[in-house]
Amino acid sequence: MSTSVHYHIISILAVLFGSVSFLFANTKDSIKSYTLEEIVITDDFSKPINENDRFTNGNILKANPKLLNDLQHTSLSDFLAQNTSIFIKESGHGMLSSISMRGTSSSHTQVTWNDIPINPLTMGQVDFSQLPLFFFDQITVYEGGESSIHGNGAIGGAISLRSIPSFDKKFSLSLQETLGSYQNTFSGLKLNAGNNKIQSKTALFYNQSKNNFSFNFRGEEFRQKNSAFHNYGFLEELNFKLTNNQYLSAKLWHTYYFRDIQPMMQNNNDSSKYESIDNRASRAILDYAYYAPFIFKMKLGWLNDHQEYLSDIIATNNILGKVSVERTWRNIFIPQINFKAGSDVQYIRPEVSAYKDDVTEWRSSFFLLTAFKVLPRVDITAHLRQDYVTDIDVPFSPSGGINIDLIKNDKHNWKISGSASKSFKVPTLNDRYWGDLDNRNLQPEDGVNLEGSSYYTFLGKNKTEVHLIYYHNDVSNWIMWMPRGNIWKPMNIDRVLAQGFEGGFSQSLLLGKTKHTFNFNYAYNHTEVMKGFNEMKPFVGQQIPLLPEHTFSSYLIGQIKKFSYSLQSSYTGKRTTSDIYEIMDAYFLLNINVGYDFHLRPSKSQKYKNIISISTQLNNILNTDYQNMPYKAMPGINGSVTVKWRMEKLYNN
Amino acid sequence: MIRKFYYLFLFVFLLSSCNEEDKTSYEESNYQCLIVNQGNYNDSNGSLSIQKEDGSFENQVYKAANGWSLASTIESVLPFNDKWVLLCSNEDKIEVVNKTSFKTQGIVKGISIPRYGAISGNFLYATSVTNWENSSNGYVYKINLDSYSIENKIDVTGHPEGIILKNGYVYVASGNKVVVINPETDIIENEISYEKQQFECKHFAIDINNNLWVSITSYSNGCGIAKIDELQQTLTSYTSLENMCYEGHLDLSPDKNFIYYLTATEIIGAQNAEAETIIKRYNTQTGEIESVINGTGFYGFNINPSNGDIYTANVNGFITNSIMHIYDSEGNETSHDEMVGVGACRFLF
Repeated sequence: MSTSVHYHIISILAVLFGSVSFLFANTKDSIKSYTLEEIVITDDFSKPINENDRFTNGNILKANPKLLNDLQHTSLSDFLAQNTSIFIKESGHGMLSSISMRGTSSSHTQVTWNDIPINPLTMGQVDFSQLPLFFFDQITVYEGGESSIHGNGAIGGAISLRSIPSFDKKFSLSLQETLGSYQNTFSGLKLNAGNNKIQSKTALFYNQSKNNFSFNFRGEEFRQKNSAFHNYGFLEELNFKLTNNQYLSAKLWHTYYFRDIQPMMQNNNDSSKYESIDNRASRAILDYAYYAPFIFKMKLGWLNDHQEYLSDIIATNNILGKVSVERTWRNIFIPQINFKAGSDVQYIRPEVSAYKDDVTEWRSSFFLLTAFKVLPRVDITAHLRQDYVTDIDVPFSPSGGINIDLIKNDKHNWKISGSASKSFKVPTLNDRYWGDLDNRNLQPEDGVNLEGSSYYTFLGKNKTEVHLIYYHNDVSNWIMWMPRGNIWKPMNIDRVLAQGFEGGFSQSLLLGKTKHTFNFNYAYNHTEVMKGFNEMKPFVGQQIPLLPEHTFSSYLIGQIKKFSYSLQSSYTGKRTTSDIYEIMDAYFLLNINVGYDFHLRPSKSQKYKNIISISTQLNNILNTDYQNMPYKAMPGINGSVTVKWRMEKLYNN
Repeated sequence: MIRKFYYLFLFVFLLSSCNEEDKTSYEESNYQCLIVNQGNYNDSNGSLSIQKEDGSFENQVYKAANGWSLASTIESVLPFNDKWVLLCSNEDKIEVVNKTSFKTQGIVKGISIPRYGAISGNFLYATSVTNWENSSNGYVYKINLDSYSIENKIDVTGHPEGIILKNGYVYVASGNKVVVINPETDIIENEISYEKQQFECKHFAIDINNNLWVSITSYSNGCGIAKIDELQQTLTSYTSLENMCYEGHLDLSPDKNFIYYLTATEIIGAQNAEAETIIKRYNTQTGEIESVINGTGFYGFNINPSNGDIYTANVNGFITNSIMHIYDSEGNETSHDEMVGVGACRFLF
């Protein structure tokens, strides 16, 4: 029995034992065994906080609810591309979208849904066009730094997608219909029902588009062909409030995406190049949480991803268990200490025709996260994490950081932070098993990330925020697929360095009863190969292909009584391609959204209030002719009209 | 306050509206070599580079001259008067550019995967395959280079590759045979078969004695070269050329006494940067074979007909730019490490 098998067994036992022992534990006795005074953690299940937010000083971006609401009919890809300086690679309009966070590759961002990682284990990278905004109440982006506490794959960062349950007894029904350019339609339904003990949330959507926009190529105008798509999704959540501090939740996600694969511009009229692909994803989570005086969480997840492309089927089934305990103490010397310890265990069974038979895998991890408030204005974090994967030596990944409030009063808050972390990514199943390859000697990717940042906030009537971040991410064994003889196989690049800085400015403005917010984010990312095999020579000292060095985004949003507006802009700088002499042009996009809410006043006898919202979204209003990826056309000015009807039950008490 | 706020936004907006488009232009110059960067098939990033008279290199000359990329893989290039004829796939097209300005003169579409060409008068005869997998549907297209129109389509079956004009006939290497077409009638007048089915005829060369040679390759059964007896319409004098690359590309020394070819350990597919590759030459008089250049990652080569210099490149597996290597006729390296486009494999003088 190999060493890693022992760790998997220990991890399973930890998850089981942790769960069982918790159920029988005498909480008071356990508190007495510590000399520190335990602090009751006041978070609860319905608060919009992510599991690990208390343990990181890194850059955390939370999606603006107004923008999230405006773009409910779109995907996370559109949202991130329009509203952050993160670069999203889009292989056409509505097509495969992958992320590059802080100059890293598409598989270097871990995506979690309610704290369960959903990156397909076969390919590693998430298609962000297949994450419907309609499903999420909260989106949080963790860039670089200590995002490695999220585990495998978080070399560039992590993204958390969450639902926020509510036990406020409200019944609500929401229907949405969006009609857009290129015969795009989106129909959505959300139903919330329950009482203060049980709550159900249901979401359904159907989206389709002919996606036959026009584009210019070599001075001629074409109508895009073979780029239609349709997709649907279903989300059900059942939340149970067992006691005032115990919650149980069951969540089920199912999405189906079919799309014709948008051909390259020059092949638009060549039907022999037309292809299509379909994907379906099913995910389920059973989630138990206990709050106060400490936090105990236990999750059981099942994830199934299935993709059919040409004659290939790429699918995985995996089952995942997580358990964690978090406690907070303080004494006269230390204002506050948070500890969180836990373990994950995962069993994976791929169904991929290109693999050898009977590939299965166990993964497990143990982690200890700590956050100390050593002085009233000084916080220190220190984390340890070790993962175990069948037949792979996963690097130990410690991390830590410090946060100092230089100025902290009623008006001003200026803090500086620094962090150092190790991150890793286990080679994907495709990396190791595709095409009868046995690449188990492929090394895991191993990152060392250093980060320094400064945040200033002016806390007046009109809030101002400014931040500046520098990062330095040194990645060893970066994996890239290369031709070797008559086949392609994954290889480790010795060393890749990603470094850069990000700056941001945010200003809110209250004018009478109107509120406006302006936000601007800029990022400079430079990623180059420092040492690698011979094919990497052209990239030494050069920005890696298809990654802009300069990006920025800004938005201006406002609410004037029942009228709302948003103006979003994004800039993507020049990019090299795999031919370093072929440069893709920079581009700037500007979008606008205006909306109005009609509140239908209920009569005394009515038990429901009704809100009808009408909004219009116009994208690329400057009609910029641009390509995000080489020869993949993107549409000019386009738009949509959305009508939402929301009915909420009224309560007199 | 609100005015300042909106001015700030307007400033950022206007600043970012300054779209820095990469508008380059090509300054015409004399050049000694046209470098054909085939490009990666999936990326359609074929391009043209030139080596100027002073020895310096300039890349992306087509894009600089026309304002957009070729957006294709370049299968082959041949000269036609003051023009270059580019046979391209993915996008499938034949594009004619001016030799000096590199501006597009005309485009012919509707031909599936054009591979190689030969010119007879104002007509281009181009081989074409329906797709890479199907080796039974191959054609030769006759294209009018004045009107850029397709004049005829000749079914040659097999997998047509190299094509050459000799003694008024068009010879086409297709599968295990050489097809002979009379360009006056566009009728196939003969088929010269090689006896072994699994071998494929690839490319031609005409030596100092006006003999026509054809390279013959296979996936795993060896490779070689054979002479075509034009009178008997048979293949004769087959000589095994061990490890010749599957593509079977041939070129001649300036005196046309030697036929050069490329060998590799992995004879099929894109060469990775570290794959051992050797350029060898076959003496058409004596049948002797000698190694001329040992290198890595070569995919193609050509000989400068005026001085015998040998041009080749490490193609880095077609995933990024190629690194040029230039040798004199004795195999001594005279220039190296210049970077050109993706998949540099043909060099025209």
